[in-house]
Amino acid sequence: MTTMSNLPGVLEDEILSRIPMNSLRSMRSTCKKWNTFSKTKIIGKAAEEEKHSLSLMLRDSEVCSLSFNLQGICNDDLVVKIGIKEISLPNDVMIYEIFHCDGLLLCRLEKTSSLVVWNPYLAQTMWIEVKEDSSRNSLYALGYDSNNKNRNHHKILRILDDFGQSSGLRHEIYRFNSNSWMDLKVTPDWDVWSNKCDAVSLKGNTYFLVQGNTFKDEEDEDEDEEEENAIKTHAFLLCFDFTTESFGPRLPLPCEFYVGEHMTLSCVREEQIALLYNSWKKCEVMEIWITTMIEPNDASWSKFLKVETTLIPRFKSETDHVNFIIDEEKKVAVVFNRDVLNFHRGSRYKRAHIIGEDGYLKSVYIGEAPFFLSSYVPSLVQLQTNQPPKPKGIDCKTKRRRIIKR
Amino acid sequence: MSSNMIMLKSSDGASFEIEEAAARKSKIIANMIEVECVDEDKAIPLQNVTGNILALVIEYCNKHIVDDDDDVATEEASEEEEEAKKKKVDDWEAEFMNSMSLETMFELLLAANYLNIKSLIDLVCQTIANNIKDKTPEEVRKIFSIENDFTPEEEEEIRKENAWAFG
Repeated sequence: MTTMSNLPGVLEDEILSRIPMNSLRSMRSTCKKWNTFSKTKIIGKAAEEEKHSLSLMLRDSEVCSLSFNLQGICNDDLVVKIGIKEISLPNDVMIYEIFHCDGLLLCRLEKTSSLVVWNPYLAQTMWIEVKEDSSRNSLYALGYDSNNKNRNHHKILRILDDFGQSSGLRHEIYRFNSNSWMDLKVTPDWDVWSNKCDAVSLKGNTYFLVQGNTFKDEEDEDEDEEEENAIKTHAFLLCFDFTTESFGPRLPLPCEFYVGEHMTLSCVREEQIALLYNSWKKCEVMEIWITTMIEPNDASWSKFLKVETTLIPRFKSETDHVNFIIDEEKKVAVVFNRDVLNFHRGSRYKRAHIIGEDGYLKSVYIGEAPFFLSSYVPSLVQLQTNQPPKPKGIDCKTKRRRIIKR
Repeated sequence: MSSNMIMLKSSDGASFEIEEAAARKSKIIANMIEVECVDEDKAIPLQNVTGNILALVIEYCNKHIVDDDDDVATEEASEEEEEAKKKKVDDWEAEFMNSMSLETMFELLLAANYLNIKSLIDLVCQTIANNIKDKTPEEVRKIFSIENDFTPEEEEEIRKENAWAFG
């Protein structure tokens, strides 16, 4: 009888590399050969579910993978296959913030000041102790030194309140190759920490979307007094370059914003940044822009899609915050909205809106809306794994979580 | 393209007539035609492929003749038509693969590999790989006749290791 073991090695490898990624656990427990294979190659790349967008989302402290299959977007018989699957974690771990870079997730956890850097593909974790972080008043970003091709070239940037500094902020960097936090001497002329709307990682650097007047821009404040309801706001991108460990200049955004309006960033295939602007002060329109070029010191944009928000079912521009991902090839954006005023379990927004060209619009029920959404590209970046610090007063029963499929 | 007919002969002696355009899906046969070692009156012997498997290969090739020609012919075809056509092929492929056992799939894969038909190799590999979806390790081992070479301790270790893994 012909079985797997009769196949030439090259064909067996071809099959193994096509196993869908959400079968990773089963695959690793099948036999030694398969276990080794899955740790040296990324599986699932060719599998149907992963052909399109694979994203990670955070929902009620749980990390889920989200896959979209937007086959047939040009026909009327669009089949939107949305796969949401919880990624199983030890029971005592509650994540409240994730930041993705290079297949690694920087996670902030409930009940501990430690950070964990996590490679969900390799199932590796590295715990990092953080001093004096009893509150959540720190901002973290993960990146890497693109000149250093060695292992351990990743770094974490931390920005925190420090009234001892003239700017009121302190910057620290954690280099994986030295395993320690160092003070970083940067004197920014903006307040990234409190004015940040969003941040994404691209090619190892972090781009912060900064909105509002910074402490050096106070002279701008009175400019638009004539229109009380529509005060223009100063908004721009700022890149923290993890290679030079410094901030770049302010990068222009493609449109004008008014105070109170919402915008958010998304990363496109680790190559481009997309910006979603939800306008409601002047007109109720949602615009999505995409970078045609982006570097730490320069950016240019082109318009990707535009839709009247009044056409989106159950969407309220004033109170809804959105997360989104785009498929550039198919000219489609998938937008999730959640009501910031009514955001709690069982929130009334449970839809993904698929927005395409020429007014194409379709809403799909997805269960609970994601609190956080990030594009994700699995990687084989090895971490120096270690044990979590001894928990203080945390119930450590390691009941395994149920895997729920929707 | 001419619609010359070519004869193929399986290892167990069955003969099949196939259009040249379809036969060219196989890089090996296409090469033979290029270097003109195909005698029109004589069947090409395929020693490594049995008749029942060769019939499947030919069914696949016949279904896929069109798309190669169409790449050139219908350049102006709209995106909608392209999508609709792709969906039709996808549906056919799903049906085609659905009709066979895992053992047949492995044999078809070996034949596709021998005849060098890249798209068929991809299709069969993906279909086999999808069999792993939503299965426990025990089920996977059973389906693929794989021996469990882990000790119970190692198995527990793998389970622990993957506490933070996908899926």
